[in-house]
Amino acid sequence: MFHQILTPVVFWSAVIILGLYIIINGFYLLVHGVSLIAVRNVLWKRRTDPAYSSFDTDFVPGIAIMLPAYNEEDTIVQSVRSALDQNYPKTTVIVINDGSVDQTLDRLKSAYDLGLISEAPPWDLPCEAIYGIYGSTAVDDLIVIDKANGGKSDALNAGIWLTNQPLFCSIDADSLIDRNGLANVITPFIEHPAETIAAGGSVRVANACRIDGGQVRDVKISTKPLVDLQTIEYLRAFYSGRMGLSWLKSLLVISGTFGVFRTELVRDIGGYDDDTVTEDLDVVVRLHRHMRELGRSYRVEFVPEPVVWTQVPETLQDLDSQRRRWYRGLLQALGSNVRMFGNPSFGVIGIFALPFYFLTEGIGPLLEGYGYVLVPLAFLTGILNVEFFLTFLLVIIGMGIFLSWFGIFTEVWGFRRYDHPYQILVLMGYAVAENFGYRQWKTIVAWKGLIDFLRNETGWGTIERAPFSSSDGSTVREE
Amino acid sequence: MTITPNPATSIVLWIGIGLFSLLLSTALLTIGYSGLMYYRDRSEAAVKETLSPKLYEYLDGDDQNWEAAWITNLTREQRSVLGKTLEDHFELVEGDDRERLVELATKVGVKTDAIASLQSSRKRSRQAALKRLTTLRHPMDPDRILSVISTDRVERELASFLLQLDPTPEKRRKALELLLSDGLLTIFGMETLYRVVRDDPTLAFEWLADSETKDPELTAQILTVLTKVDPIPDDAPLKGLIGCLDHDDYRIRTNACLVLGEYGWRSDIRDEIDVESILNDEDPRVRSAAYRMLGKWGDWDARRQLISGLITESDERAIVQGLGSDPELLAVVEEWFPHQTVNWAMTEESTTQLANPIL
Repeated sequence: MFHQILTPVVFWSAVIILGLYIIINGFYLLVHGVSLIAVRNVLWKRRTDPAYSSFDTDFVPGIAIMLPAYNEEDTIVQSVRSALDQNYPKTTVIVINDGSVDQTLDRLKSAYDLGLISEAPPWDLPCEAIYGIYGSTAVDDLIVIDKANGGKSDALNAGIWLTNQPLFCSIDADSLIDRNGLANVITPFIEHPAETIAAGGSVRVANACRIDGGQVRDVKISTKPLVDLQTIEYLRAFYSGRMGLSWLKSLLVISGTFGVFRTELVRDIGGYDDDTVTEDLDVVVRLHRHMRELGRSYRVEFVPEPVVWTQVPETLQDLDSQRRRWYRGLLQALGSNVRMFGNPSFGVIGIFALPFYFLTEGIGPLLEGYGYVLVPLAFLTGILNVEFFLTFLLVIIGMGIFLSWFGIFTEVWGFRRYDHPYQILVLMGYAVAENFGYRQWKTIVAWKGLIDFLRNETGWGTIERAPFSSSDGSTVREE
Repeated sequence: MTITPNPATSIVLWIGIGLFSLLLSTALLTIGYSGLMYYRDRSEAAVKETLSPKLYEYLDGDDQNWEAAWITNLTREQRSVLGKTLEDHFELVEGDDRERLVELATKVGVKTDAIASLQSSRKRSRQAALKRLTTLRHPMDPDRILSVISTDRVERELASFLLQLDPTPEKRRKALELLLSDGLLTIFGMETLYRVVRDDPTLAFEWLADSETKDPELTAQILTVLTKVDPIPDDAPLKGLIGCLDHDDYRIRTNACLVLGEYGWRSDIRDEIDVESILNDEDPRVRSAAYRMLGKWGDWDARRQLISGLITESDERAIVQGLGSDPELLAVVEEWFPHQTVNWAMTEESTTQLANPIL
């Protein structure tokens, strides 16, 4: 009797999982295919964009570079140097020391000769208490806000409300931007100054790269498999995923590591939300909603050429913490905007983008994890035949490898930061390897993230950051 | 006896074959292209290494016989690499060095190829050619260029840039018409517009006189450009500019104030401006621009109006803009305002330009 009930349940569950995964992969194929058109356009623009530098004109918009920092003593001076060295004529660097309990502020004071401008801000800032606002006597255009701890969103809001620059750029304090990164990422604002409201660049893995003078000089593949597996993910996510979604006007996330936004618009929507752990996703979705409700045409663009380099977690424990937070944040953002789902008044965002994210990033990992348990068991107990089992493997693993290789091809065709064929071979090897263990582990993390979400977990967790490597191979620690 | 696979097995087989083909072709394409590009880059790097000393020798020397022999003996690959190298260098050098590089680019055929490509029916080829000509700063005859470009915005802006290189009144007019004929400007377009009108903004002011019928965003862009332009002679038409102070769009009112900041010496213009009305504008951004305008005018009347506006101002950002607009005045009135407001008014960040090219 039990067997008579269980067999059809298991069978049809497996069929539904397989069917959904065929649909999910179909969506991925569409997005990745469209990304090729986007890359082709990028390559064309290199040949046809007007040949003038941002230093040749006074009309480029000013940008406030926000660096929220919490206990970043090892990397903060170099990150600020990287921001100050940006090849762009109109910037203000605003570091927000978010109640660090280490030497973050002292290192900044020492490195940049900070002097107190005032203990209170010139107007109310919607954030935790401000202890002081500092300027630098050594460099122009550096402001440091020292405040009580309130989280990344709170720190960003302090900077957003303080600045007068028309655009701001949020960068993580443990990241390095290419020297021309800012000049490149604002390209959509240059081309469509009235419509563009946000633009983001790509994030790459810096863990094994050589850093010199705040810039990545030598792009290398790490010797740590976990780092290389994340490198594949980033390539796939940015060069296939986001390029395609941007072209389809369906970009829902500008990476918090490197994104440019219109300052006034973000203030209009109330700034970053303290209650979310993925503020980058949340703010972009709310911007979409706001602009749709206003009925104004707008653009949210991904720009592949500017790159920000970041240190990814090197241990499973740290990666687990990060990915659970990301997953929780995704569910929060999707949950807060349920009324946009399938709603034609929100255009392509409601009809395609949000359902796409929900299916592929939301329930996709959960179903996949469930499938990894259900389908082999069902096969072993004879409920499913070998053909079904092989189809399941082909759809999940085969397509997974293809989509990763597609992302690598996009990198090779368009950007070639990994310019040696050996590096490409290694990455392709990891793209295969990721389907045997790593991908399955990520589905477990997704389930854990779901449990965290249902339990209303709010913490960010702590992640050990490796300092950047300098050109002589030694690690760079700020004295 | 034949063996017929069951349908399910056939389906799986076909999926497997299809996927395998996809993977194989992707792998071959990826690795093949990577290898090809790697060897091409190495080859070009080697060529560039041999060319660089010659390039510097060319820049420093004036031996025409040597130059002619060197250029004649360049291989196709060397010409290609040299062309790319020159394009990179154009953005880095100015003055005589730039002229020499342009001369060299002409000798190796870069200019000729670009002019020939203008006739292409392919949009991208025309745009690449126009870009190359703007890099070379090659002025062109208006009729010639208008006969080849389309209504595409990129082409119009690039063509306008070429026209303003050798600015006769006719070329300026045609450049302005091209820029403003359809849609908004890019930042490059605004820079081009600035170069077209900087010596004589009369055309832009004439366009503004008719601005009520025009796109408000385009009007705001033109005003942003005019904030950078030096004041125009007494007889130039400014009615359109003053009319912008009553526009519905706050961006136009803001930018109009900033442009008028340069005309404090014109008593006839000041007589036509209702300063009190602007100081009571509902939008604090407009009031901020009005404070900037008064700060630029800088005489006693203007300062009196500035102070009276700031004393009753409710928006703290506007107060900071006002205090920052006149450093001498700040020293006098600083005790009337909170110290954090005054301290902030003295920083660079607080005095960020209000003329915002991002509308």
